[in-house]
Amino acid sequence: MQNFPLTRRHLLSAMGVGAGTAALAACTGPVSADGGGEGAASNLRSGFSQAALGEIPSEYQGRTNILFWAPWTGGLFEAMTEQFAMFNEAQTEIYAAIESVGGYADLNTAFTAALQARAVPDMVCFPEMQWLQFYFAGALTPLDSHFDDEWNLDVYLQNFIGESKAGDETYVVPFARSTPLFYYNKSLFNELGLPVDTQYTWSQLREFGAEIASVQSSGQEIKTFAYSGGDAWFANSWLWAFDGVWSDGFQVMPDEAKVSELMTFANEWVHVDGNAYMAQDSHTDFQTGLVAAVHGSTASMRGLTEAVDFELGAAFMPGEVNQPPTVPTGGSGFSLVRTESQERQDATAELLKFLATPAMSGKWHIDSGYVPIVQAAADEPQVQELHATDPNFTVAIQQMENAQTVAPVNWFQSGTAALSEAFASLTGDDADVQATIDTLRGEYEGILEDNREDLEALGIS
Amino acid sequence: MTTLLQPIEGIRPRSSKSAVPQRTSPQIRRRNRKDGLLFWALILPNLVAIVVFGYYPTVYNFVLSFTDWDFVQPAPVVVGFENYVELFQSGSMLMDALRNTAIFVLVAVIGTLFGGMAIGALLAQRLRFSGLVRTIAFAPHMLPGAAIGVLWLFMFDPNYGLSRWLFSMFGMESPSWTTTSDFSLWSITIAYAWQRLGFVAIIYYTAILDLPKDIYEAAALDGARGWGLFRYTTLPLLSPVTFFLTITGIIAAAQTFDIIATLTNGGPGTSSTTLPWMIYDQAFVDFNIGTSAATATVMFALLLVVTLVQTKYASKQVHYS
Repeated sequence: MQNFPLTRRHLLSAMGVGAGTAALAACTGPVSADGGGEGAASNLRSGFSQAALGEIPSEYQGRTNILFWAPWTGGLFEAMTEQFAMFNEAQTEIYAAIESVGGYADLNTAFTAALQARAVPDMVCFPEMQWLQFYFAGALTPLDSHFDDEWNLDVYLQNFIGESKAGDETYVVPFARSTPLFYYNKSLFNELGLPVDTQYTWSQLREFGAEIASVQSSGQEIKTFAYSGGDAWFANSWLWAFDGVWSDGFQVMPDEAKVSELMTFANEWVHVDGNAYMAQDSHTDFQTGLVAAVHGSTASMRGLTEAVDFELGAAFMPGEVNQPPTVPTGGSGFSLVRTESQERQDATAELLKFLATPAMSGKWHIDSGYVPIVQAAADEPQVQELHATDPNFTVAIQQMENAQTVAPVNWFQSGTAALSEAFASLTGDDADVQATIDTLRGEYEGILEDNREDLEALGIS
Repeated sequence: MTTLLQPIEGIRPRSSKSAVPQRTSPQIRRRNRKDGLLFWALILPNLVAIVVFGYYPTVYNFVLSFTDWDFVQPAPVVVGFENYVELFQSGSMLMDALRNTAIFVLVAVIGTLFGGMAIGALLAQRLRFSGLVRTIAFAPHMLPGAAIGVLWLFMFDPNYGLSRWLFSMFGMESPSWTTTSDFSLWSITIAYAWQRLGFVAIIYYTAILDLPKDIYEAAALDGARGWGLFRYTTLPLLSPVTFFLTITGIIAAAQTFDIIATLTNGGPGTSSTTLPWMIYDQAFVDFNIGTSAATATVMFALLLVVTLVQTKYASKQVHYS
């Protein structure tokens, strides 16, 4: 069997980021008959059977069984499970089983192992870029042949379909798309007379510190803000707020002064003012009233709304020099797994079509806080009612116009890990700012150098 | 009656210089065949299991350590010793992992040996409620590591955990155990030691109960008591148990994963990254299968050396009779 040489060039080209368009046809390499990717011989793949389904309820016996490995737990998984139950009730031919495998990273691991074992689910849901590695491995199958007048890429919000295609074929339909938000304890802010429902700046939040600390919760002074161990996604917006960029082409932190300003701010807020801190679990601390504000995805909206016993406030990400700042895009979409069964692929497409109905898309938005990805979902009565009664959900929609793909260096997992570690050192370990910048610069430059050929192929210089 | 030099029936003598060739009867040959078949029938299931699930993965891991693979592509690419060269470069994650593993293992094993021996000796006094205490002491060993991790995650929480209450009694603030590099390694060490302590205590307790009474009677006649009796009589008699607990303790501690996964995820940075966590992180987070396999090979070699050294030392120091 011929090996397909996967390189990041293929990945990035397929994404169409940087260059602005998907130009796969011009830069993908040859593939083996079984290798998949562009030019895969068939949408079917012999020897790749269905992973264990578990027990099928008696009322659904005798149907075509399909399996989805969901990258969600808790409330999100419950909301998805409910939609699956509705699907199973809605027709008589298909039984769709849903299993939680944990988070996105867990799904990546589980699906990778499943490909080795050749026992795979019929449907997966990967974040923005992750699906491409599986596309090149021939693990996914195009969706285009299943599209019809009712279900195709046109039904989705158009600024979220750019990452769906490889070459001329569609491998992902958007589903759980998000941006980061600033969540705050609105009751506390109101009690202290602090401004609410506004565009905050970081300096402004820092000034609130003494006032917020004047109130105690569980015998402790309330902190203003909680950092956490994996803040890379949010840190994209932080630096945009300070009018800097993590990388510009191959130049890492072209304006180091801006980075230094941001990092000094974070470090001093924690270790000089003492009004921010590095949390073990920021959302738990927020829910218990120990901290006044946290970051979170729009997808945290429903969970936080139900978990807190105070009025929840949601605002755009804080600005500083730039108000409002640019925010990074986030979230994931559904892909169809290439297996031996045409029947199961067709059945899975039916499920995808069902989940893309305005009613289901609206329900997912209501239950989770993710963007109502199907355009018509915004017109659903329940969605309109929600936005009328809970403006927090509207904030998430409004901020979408500020969303942008992150700097190239943070396209790579190693880049985001380095950035998270940098802020964990600053906020947790009180690390020296300049030493942190130097360490991050070294790691970033290494990442860009390792991927120079791929990035240059995208026209990045 | 056979003489000493008479060959045992059915066994071919070692010297083949005998003028008369030895022959075994058909019955004996049949019995030997049956015995052989029975031997293989009994040993084969275990042998197959060991080969398939033990030796084959070990050998395959060694092969993978010379490759570059991301698990997704159809086949690994051979890169020779590249993974090992990268591992042993200065500043590599392996150096941090080795240091952390050494600290974690040494503190956990030595701590549980001392603590377990003390608790075991105390339980052997047969005081009131010692049965209940035995059960309570052993209970953590029965819990899964992930549950221990979650439990300690709450206890370590500086805002609302037991740690906060404990430190506040002395007018101090609780350290941020799991979110700062200064304490993260100690947090996993404490949680692991707490889990293993009960097991070590019970092993020592049963060993102390089995110690020969006559030696103690003789020692008492010689005037030995208290610390002297413990130091010169009990400790040497317990040396086989101590040896067993040391070897199993080092191997178990060096393989600890679940507590790290729930408490710190190997962080912040690499401050609580041990060898098993690095192996996992490289394989299933970064998908650097070659690097992960090379790290696993290094860990295997280290544990093998440590065990061999311990065995050699034990042959001189452990008293089995």
